[in-house]
Amino acid sequence: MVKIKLENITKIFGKKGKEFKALDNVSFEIPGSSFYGVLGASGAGKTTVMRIIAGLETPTMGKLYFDDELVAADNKDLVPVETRNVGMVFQNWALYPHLSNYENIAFPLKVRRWTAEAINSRINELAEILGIKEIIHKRPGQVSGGQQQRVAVARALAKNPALLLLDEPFSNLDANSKDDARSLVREVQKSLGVTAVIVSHDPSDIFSLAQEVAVISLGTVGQVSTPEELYDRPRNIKVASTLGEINFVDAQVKKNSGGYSLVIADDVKVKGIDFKGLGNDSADRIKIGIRPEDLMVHKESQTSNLIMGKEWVPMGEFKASSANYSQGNFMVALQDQKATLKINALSREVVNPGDMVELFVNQEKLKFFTLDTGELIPK
Amino acid sequence: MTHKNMGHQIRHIVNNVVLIVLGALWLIPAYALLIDGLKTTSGVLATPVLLPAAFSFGAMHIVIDALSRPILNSLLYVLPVAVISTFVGSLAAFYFYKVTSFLNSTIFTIIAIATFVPYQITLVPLIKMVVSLGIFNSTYGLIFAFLIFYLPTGALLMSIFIAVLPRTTLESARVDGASDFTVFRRIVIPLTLPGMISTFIFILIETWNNFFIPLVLISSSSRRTAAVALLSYTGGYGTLYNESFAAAFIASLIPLVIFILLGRYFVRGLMAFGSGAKG
Amino acid sequence: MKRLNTTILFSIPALIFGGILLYFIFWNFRNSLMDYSLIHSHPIYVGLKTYQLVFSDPSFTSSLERSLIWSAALVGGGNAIGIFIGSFIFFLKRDRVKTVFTSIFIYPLAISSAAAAVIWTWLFNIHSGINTILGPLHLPTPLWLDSSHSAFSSLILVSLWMYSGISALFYLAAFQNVDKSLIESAKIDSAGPIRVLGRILLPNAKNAFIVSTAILFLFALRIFSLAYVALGLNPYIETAVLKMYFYYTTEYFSESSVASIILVVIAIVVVIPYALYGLKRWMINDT
Repeated sequence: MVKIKLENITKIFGKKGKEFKALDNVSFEIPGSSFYGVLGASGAGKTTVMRIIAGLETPTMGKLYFDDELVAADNKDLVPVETRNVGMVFQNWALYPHLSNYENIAFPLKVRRWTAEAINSRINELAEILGIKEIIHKRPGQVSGGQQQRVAVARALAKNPALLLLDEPFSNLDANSKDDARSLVREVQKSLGVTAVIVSHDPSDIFSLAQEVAVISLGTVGQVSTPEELYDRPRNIKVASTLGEINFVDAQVKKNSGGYSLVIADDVKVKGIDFKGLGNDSADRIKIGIRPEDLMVHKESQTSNLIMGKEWVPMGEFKASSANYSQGNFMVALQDQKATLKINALSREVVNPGDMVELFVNQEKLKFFTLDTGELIPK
Repeated sequence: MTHKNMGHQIRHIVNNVVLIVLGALWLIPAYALLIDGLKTTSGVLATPVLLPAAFSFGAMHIVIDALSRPILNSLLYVLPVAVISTFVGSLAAFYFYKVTSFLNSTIFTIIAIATFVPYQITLVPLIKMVVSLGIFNSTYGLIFAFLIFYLPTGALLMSIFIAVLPRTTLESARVDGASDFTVFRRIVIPLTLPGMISTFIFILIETWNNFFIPLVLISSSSRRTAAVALLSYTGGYGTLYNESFAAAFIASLIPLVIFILLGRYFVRGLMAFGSGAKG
Repeated sequence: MKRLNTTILFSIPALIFGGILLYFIFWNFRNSLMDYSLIHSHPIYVGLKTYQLVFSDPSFTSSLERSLIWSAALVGGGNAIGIFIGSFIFFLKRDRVKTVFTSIFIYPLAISSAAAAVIWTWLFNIHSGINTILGPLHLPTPLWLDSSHSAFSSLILVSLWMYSGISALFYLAAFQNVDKSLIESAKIDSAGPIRVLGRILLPNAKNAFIVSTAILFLFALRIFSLAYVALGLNPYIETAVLKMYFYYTTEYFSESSVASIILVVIAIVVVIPYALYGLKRWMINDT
């Protein structure tokens, strides 16, 4: 329910001479009762942000507000961890190995001196919601990863926290459990109305849960917007890379009668681009970003029989240098005939290394960035 | 294939034989301890130390009488020291684990180095301090002196056992709202219990066997410890060795029994002591 | 802030006693610069004069020499025996047997040095001790503690009996920490145990060597009761610690302090590289 505000938060680790700036002037606001995401690669600083919000680290400079109350400022914790009323699910869940799951969840309540009956009814309530009733008296070491994670969530929620922090909570789960875990967390957050922040390097976590996302790379905030906005209109190349796999190629823009065409290499041209954002100078050089899932690969023999939407534009002939199968798709590494380009594309057909294929691109999904600053060129 | 197996077999046999021979050598004193404490006077006069003779508790009786007071004294001094060193040492170790700063690391290193210096060198100032505090030749004085050496040792050992605790587990307790003492009581102690037992046993045995400090701090024979009381049993011409061995046996009985029953904790304590400043 | 205060309380008792320990060392240093003895019952500052006195005392220099020889012998012999026993135990198959043998080589540490002195004094007795077994086997029958030449070596042997086990323990632990796949691939390459020991186990046991050497050296420096109970304050076995004690009993307190400081310096010289090596681990833990 609490609203969080970070104002110019800077965090420096280390001593004189060996300093490391983990966060540099990070500012954003987390609306109350929302599900907020903090996305970034490992080492980008997202865990530091979370630990500062929790109170496990103190911001070297800057201010942190919980609902307009100053909670930490300029190297001082005004409200210590113990009293911030935050529930946190650590990446390794950090359950107390010597206590049963019941006692784990009871721990924060015992610290607050709840009566045994109150604790009991609260734990029953949570166990019901999170589906851990049968294993409640076992020890964390005796149950599966997915169950441990739910116990950790229960423990975080037990004291009715104003804020729920999730630090890469699904990274230790296998693919199947991840989806179940995500739905559960989404449901719980919605029904309880607790402000939730999830920190992750996995864009799927963000897309399935967050309503608003702050993208962090190298200690600074790259962009703050909704997941869809981030995905379709990433502000720059850094942000675009954080959101998932993306191909970057340099291209020259040529204007001709039918519109624009992009010359990527001597043998790779994309014609018929409908594009207003480019300048009138028809010899602009730009950087194009395109995700593998926005490219289509077809074996040559099949192209004549294809019916594709207007947005799909041919890019030319490519040779598959390798192909990996993953979750229902083939991720194919393509090279143009002169081997000057390397593009990764998704294919629903079986592709073998050495095959020649036709590559199509969804021109609506092309993202254009300036060559010098890497900023997005709006369409 | 069988050629190789034979090679393996032979190697194993050699391995075992070598260890059995060495082990037997190492056990000779223990063997002597057993058989010689139980010899009669005539057995002593007739047989050398390494050959057994007729069984008798005579020497043991005499020695138990003489050593019962020193052994009780030892217990009286040693138990509080082991308990305090382990518990208070754990508190300090927890603090140093929690609050990492350059100052703390320096202090810790300096004190750790001090524990490795031969403790006998503190002889003169130790006696001066104990005398001026009026606790010379007293229980308090000896316990005080022991703590000066063994409390830092306890802290050092526990710091090694605490260092392996996952930080996130302790941080989780803080997020759950627990005060430092609650974290210590409910998370650290249960999770480091084997380490605490190891530290306790290590210090117990070390202080029981400590000879020098009780030697210089206790002057009256009624307050002597078991280790020091052994001075009267060293071989001199005319001494009967069954009493010497019986004395050595009785004086070592408690640490030996602890070693036999809880040896693995003692070994863990030794290993931790060796890791010492490696923290 | 309140929270930080209560946590600091945790460290206070240990810091107090640790502080006293440090205070003693500094007190000794100050006292070593004085003349404080039966003759001068009020200490007066004399600078390094007492050091000169002590170093020109041949019984002190020979005691210091003896301490260093003992340390060198214990380090050399202890490491050698430790590696030997450690590797033999390592190559045993069953864990149960390993534990038994480890206990056999460690148990001397559970016995007080005084008790060990009593036992070994009798074992070394030329009439009723081990010579009674060595003789009939036509093995050499040294005079052990009865001769001024062999008394010192005899005690060194006892200390090897006492402390080699701890060295073996460290090596065994280091060997067991070596990645099993390294050993397995060596076995697949038909390497015998000696090769495995030399090429794989020992190079990975540098830690154990450093720790073992430091610990053995320091234990040798502090040997007191073994010598004292066995032979009293005997000039043929007098080590620096015993000399320091002798100065004290004869009320030459400053001389005693000088001997103490010299021992402290030696100990620190040994401990510091070993602690620095460990400090590096701390620094890594900090960041």
